[in-house]
Amino acid sequence: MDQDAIVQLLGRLHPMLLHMPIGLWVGVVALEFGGALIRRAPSRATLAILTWMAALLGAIAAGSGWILGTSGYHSSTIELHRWLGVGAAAIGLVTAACGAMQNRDAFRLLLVLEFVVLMAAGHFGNEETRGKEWLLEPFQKASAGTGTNTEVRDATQTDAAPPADSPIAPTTDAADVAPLIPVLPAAEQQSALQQSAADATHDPKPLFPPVEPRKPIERDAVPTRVAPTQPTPSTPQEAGKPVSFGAQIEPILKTYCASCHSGTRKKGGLRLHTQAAILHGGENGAVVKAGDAANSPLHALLLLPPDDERHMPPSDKKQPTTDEIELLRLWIEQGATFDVAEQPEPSPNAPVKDSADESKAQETAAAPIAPWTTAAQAAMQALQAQQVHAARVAEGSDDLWVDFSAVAATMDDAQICAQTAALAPWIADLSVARSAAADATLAACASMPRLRRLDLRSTKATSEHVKLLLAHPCLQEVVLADTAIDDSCVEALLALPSLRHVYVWNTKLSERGIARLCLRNGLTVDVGETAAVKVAEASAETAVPAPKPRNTTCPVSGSPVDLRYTVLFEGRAVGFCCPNCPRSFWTEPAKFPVADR
Amino acid sequence: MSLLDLHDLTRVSRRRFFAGAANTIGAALGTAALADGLSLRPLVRLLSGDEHQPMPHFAPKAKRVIYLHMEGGPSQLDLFDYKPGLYDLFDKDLPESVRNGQRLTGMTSGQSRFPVAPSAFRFNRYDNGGDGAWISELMPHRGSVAKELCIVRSMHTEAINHEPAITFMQTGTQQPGRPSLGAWLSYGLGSSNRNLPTFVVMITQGFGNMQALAARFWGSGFLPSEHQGCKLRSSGDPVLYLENPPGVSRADRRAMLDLAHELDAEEKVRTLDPEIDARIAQQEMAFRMQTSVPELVDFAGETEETIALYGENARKPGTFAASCLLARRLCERGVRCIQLYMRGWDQHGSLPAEMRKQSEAVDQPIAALLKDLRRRGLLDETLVVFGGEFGRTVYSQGALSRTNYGRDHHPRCFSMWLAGGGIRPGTVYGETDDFSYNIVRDPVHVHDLHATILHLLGFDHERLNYRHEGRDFRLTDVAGKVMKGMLR
Repeated sequence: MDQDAIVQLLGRLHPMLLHMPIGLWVGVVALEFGGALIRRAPSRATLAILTWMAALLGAIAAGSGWILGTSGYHSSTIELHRWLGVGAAAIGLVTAACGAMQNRDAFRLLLVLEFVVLMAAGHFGNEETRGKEWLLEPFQKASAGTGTNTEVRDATQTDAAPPADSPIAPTTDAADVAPLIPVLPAAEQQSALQQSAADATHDPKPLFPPVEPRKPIERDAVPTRVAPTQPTPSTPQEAGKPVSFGAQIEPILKTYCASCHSGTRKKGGLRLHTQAAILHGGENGAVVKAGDAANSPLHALLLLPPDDERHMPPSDKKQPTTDEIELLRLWIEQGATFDVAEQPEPSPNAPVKDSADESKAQETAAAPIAPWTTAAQAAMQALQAQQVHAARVAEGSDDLWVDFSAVAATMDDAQICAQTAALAPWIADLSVARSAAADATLAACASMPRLRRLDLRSTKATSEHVKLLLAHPCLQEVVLADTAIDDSCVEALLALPSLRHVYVWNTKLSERGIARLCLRNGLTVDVGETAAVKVAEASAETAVPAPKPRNTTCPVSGSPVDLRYTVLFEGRAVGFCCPNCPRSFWTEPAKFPVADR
Repeated sequence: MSLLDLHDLTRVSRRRFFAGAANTIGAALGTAALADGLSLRPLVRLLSGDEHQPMPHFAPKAKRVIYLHMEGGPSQLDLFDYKPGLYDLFDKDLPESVRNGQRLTGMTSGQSRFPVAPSAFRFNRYDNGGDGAWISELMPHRGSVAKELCIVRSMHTEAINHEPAITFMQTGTQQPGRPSLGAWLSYGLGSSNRNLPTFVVMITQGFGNMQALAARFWGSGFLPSEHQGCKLRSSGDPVLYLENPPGVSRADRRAMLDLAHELDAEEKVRTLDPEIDARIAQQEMAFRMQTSVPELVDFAGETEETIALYGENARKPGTFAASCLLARRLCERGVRCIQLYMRGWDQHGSLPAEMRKQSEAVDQPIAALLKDLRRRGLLDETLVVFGGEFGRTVYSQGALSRTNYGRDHHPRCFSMWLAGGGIRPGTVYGETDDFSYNIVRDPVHVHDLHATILHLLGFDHERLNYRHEGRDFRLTDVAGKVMKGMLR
């Protein structure tokens, strides 16, 4: 066995060992002074044994503490704790010696001193592990409402923030925050289609309600403080500029996370040293949910109170600054991309977009971060009152399942649109089966950012309507069984980058159309017979070989291509590294030249 | 008074009621309601705990369940548990080492010998995308959907007679009084169609020896009674009094209900009896069912092709085929738990002849149900479960010939299958010994099955519980493991 390892182990036993002498010293004090109180002298032998045990164990605890202290603790608190601890051990030994020499007065005096030093050492040790404010935190919380409290953790921001006694925080409406969220390269193609969809429904109103900025959980409790999402001058990130993984995020991960989550060290099964490892996540699943920092453990765990056992980095480790946490948040909200190269600046010759397009693009970008609001809760209840099933998918999730099955027969296209509009940012699973859903519903679906499953069975949906889905980034399953779709929507389906399962029983799709769908890697084409899957298998090996992407590196990120994310574009197969990149690609294909192999 | 306190109050005990405390509190609540300018109806909804509806603990794989219960205990040896080695052991005595002194029912424990009865039916091996599934000739249609099935050959239960065994299968305990699986699901999932009950039960008469089916098999036990299964009648109107009596219009009925609810609500404030809420909810449900049920049971919209899929019997209400088609229609309309009982699988004698009739009645409809759900994209989010309350013995009860024999109850192993939502398709799970007597690999206890079903519907079976008589109850009591091997 490694000698260093044993020494380290001894150090790590400190948190356990230190409690023994404390308990014993309390016992000695109780015996010595308690005995006097009830006028019955304690047994001398008991006192001697306890005192020596306390002194010796104290020395051992101090020794192990010293070892632990040498492994990367640097703060004034730890210095105080170190010397008070050593002092307590020394005083303890002297006390025991005095006791042995029957010097009663010196023994009592030293005992009191020992007790005080011990408590002080314990206090600073506690401060080191739990944080400075921990002990008095309950009082601070209670007085926070008065506005006199200054929070230590926000020290970095105080110079930029208005005075703490300023009565009203600056407004936090969407317009103020907008510059922070980068305008996604607006897609002429997409917006044009969207426009036509909107025209078709005579509803030029944007489909997303204005979105309030999401504030980190912790700070909501202190209303008078400035929300850190405010674009204050102290924010390191220039407004509107995308966060770069290589230049800004990677250093943070290296500094704060690498000691436990890189290379061979993978606590919780998680490693954060490469792009693949970050995407892979840990044993509890993904750590990054692109566009949703609040549900991305990589960001959310940093915001937990330091004494929460899930708080990261562990409270005894170096903590990231508020700015660094904010950078992480921005990076995730912007889609958690790994573009190693800086994204190219928009060309000055780019056509000037009209303001309507601009705002639409902003809304699209802002949509995924829509926080659950009381308005949404009310909209959900209104839907329930209409006998439409609307519920969260599971506890703790904002994803909604909306199912019109109870009232499908009486629902027309416009009604469905109207009823889902208020909940669009949260709908993840929508069933309009057996209703009269058509173009308006599908156009609305295109702007439901979380939509993963869409059930259009036995509706009036046609191929033209399916095209209104655009290249919806997250849509994984589409049920088109018993509709009138035909081969002309095949390309539109293949353009859905995340599509995994499509149900096409009893449609006008030809064998050819189905075979074409089957070419897509990882897509199950369900024609409704149990032999359905067979069609996919057979065509994969006999008819035409699965399309090989013409590129080996992802045109968006530059990473190697993952065959599962092959998308047909203008009749050619283009490979990507992840499901997010096709989304960026589709919004402005010209921006990402495909490097032929 | 916080919402939580109010909710607790709704679980009022008799003791509290008699102590008179309830009256005081009730009066206080009434005053508060008036002071706030609230009508009584929202208050009642508040008290009924709608806001405290539990929800899935994690994203569910299946949104609903169709549970096909074969009452009587179908013989695994003649359906899914293929034991070719038994053909050579015809009429040989069951080795004592196999039975090993295990308990038998009083119906055969007196037999002088226990002769092995190999199945009279041929087995076919169907392609299931994996190693193949052996299914008997009794279920030819089932073979065509073998790709969808996860056949579990290693089920075992604790009860040896029908009554306690069905009770155990449906409620997780052999003693009557606990909520049924469907009631738990209704409680946990809530309705996704408020025009129909969350939990619907249909019963088909069989051809063999039939045991009584007690309504508590789909009862709600101590859960609020709106969670109990609603039985659709197999002949005539599926629900009694579906039509308003002559001279009573729908508006009259509405006015009558509104008045009754107002009186009920007053009583509720006075007594805090949660059953009043259940009664109001059920009356409202019945009112809505007057329009939703006729639409539900009207098969006019079904194509000839669909009817042909289920078989001509689908046109006759009350047949298993009609129930299966109805089950699909209930699925489409958002009913969460649909339970079909097929009676008459208790073949103590004349097993081959009776099994033939029984199987004929269920085979095509069940295969059709799976296909139909698959076509419509429903199967991937609907869990289908098939099975009885226990299995049957390898030895013959009564006289034995190559073509005629009987089998006694056998709780130590039996076969079920699951399909659809979240189930690993095309698998055969678990294995029994050469006599299909004891389990040799991957045993699945009834509690494990329940835990797995709850898991697929998004629930941690240890957390879906209900406080009653001072302690938390759950479907799986203190046992149950999620069978990961059965999951996709």
